Amino acid sequence: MRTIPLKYNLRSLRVRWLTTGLTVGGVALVVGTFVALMALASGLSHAIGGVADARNVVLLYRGGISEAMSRVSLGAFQALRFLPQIERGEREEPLASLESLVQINLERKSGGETMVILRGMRPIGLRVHHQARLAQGDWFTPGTGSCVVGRGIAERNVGCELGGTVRVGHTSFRITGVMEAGGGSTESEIWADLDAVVGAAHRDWYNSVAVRLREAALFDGFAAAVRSDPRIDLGVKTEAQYIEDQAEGAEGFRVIGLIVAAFMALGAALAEMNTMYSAVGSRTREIGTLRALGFRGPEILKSFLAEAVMLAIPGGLLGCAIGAMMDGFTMSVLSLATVSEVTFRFQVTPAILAAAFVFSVGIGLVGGMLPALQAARLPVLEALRKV
Amino acid sequence: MRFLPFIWKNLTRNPRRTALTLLSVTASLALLTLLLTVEDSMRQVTEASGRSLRLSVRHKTGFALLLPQSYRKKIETVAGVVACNPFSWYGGNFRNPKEILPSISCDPETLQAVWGDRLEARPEEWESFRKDRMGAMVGSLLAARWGWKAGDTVPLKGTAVPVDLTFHISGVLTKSWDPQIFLFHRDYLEAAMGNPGTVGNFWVKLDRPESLERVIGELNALFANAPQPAIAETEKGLFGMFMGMMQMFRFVILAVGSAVVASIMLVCANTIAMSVRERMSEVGVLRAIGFRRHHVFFFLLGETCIIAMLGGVVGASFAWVACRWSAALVPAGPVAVLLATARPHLIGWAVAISALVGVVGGFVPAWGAVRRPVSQALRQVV
Repeated sequence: MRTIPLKYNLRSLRVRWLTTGLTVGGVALVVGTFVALMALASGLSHAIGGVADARNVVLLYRGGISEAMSRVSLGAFQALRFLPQIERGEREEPLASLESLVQINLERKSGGETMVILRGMRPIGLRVHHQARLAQGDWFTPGTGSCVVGRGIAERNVGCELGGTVRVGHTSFRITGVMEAGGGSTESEIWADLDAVVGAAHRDWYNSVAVRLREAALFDGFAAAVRSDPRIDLGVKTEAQYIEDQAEGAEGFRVIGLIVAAFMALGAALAEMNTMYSAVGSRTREIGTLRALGFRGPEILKSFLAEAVMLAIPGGLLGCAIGAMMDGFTMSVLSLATVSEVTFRFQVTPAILAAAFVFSVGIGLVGGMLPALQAARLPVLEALRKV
Repeated sequence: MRFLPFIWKNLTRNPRRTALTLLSVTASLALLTLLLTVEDSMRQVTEASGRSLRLSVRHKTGFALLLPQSYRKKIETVAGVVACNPFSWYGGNFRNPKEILPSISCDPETLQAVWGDRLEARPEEWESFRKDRMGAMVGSLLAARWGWKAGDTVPLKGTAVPVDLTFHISGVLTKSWDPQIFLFHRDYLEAAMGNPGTVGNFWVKLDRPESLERVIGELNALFANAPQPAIAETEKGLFGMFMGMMQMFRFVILAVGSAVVASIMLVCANTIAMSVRERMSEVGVLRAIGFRRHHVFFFLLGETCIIAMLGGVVGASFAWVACRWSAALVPAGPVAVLLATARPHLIGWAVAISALVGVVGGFVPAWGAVRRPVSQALRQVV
């Protein structure tokens, strides 16, 4: 009988139920906040980026960071369109999509105005962005003034359901379809024919080019070909890289979430330390007795550390439960990269929950270490004499 | 007041616990102050435009579509319009391609007439800005970020507008609606782009508040069926639209702020609960020698209140200083603006919230202690 039974710690926690409860509550708050903020960042980064296709490539003016802050000329597009690395579709048409982005204002159902992206592309663009699927209706067709709206837009804005119209200047686009893309940013966009969009916006320039390569390994050859052509003033990025650049804002959120969690965790760990010191202080005689019974210092240390962790774990589990309730919660935010509003859903992933649990155990260990050391080092005789 | 030394004695009796509680509250309060700062700087954006006599005229579809510059003449003929200034987005970057500067071309001649109440710089700087076609007026935060001062030459690279331009810094704006603003001559940008004659939006200054509604109506009627349909809205309406898309931040701040407040409450309650547990017999003694319930109650609550307030002052001051100090170090963007606009009165708010929360948190355990009959309290052994 060299180990102190955990039951001893459990009972001690139960005797001091008020203090135990308050400490558990504190840890639950920290962990719950951590889970919610991480779920927000994860959902946001998914919504801004979507899922990258390894064969897709994005070309922007001088390798800029966002399609909204890029300008592509028809000449540059024609120069790159027939590069051999690009996949061909029916009738040998290259899977290269010249695109135009126009931010337009829509009226929210909940009141106020929002800005969304109207993306113009030729039908070949649908082959490049093959992740988008129709939820209702049909894709847009050139020459008919039709458009397709993302699911998020159809849900949140006035007159944007199937059959409604979107106005750009004096031009109207009839909504013939609703698309979805697994929660990605496409769900916050409107797609229509390129020439119709450019005409409605009175522009003689475009924003970006999206290209699908024959295979992902051809990227370097494609990038070199683009660089060596003086007619092409565009930078090449893989879709994954582009998404990563876009999601930097969401990354910022993750950092903010971590800072918030760190501050709160510091507060909780100190509170836990307080609780454990008090536990050690009021049980000095008990500790003396345990030592007299033959338990060694390291055993006492282990026992008190276990108690600290046992104090933190219910808080961690409770926090995970609170945070998990946020899963699927929908929000929207202004994306500065594209100057438009993006809708996203909180994503509570198993990784986040696991991290939160480890986090709570960490709070327990950090908060319990010093008090447990103190307990282990108590001189036996003095401890026994303490009233 | 005369019991204060007694409360202080009790606080210092277990210095480690007091210190730990204090630190815990400090960490929470620093965080709460940061959150309040974000909320406050969002509020400042719309607050400042509340009573202005300015209108914006933009394309009805959105900012991405441009208006012809000829609209300026039409706007200026409307009665009640004092001055009109065409703004066009340039969006250049300096050194770091990922930091798009809010660089905007404008008409330097009417800039002060339209925006004088929210742009301030020395008269000689305004003078040199007007005279120099390559001149630029920059916000104080942007100037601090790159160490710019009047007379410097600054090359910007275009993004959405594919021209690179070189500027001379004419002056640094001591006050501006965006401390990262970069304002320069419209003629310069137009010439570089081959005179497209387009404008992002017009800012219109009116003569008096009564004209506001009438002029909006007249402008809307004037441009409703124009080749490029345009709408007029107040400055507050325009900024409010952007802020509306930032509502998420308000929500997150509210949620996290509540969690922080609740955690301070738990920490204070816990500290009191522990003190009460250990000092139950003392509470009995105090009551036995004649102190009334409310006295003891006051002693216990006084302890948390002092801890919460001290933690509040330290935490909030720390957060505020950190904000101010780091504002010029982070890249251009909303975070930098937010850090730079931190207002000191928030410290007061944070401390008040903290003290209140401390008292509320200590209420239940303290009440539990004094409610107990004296005889029972005296008999209590830990």
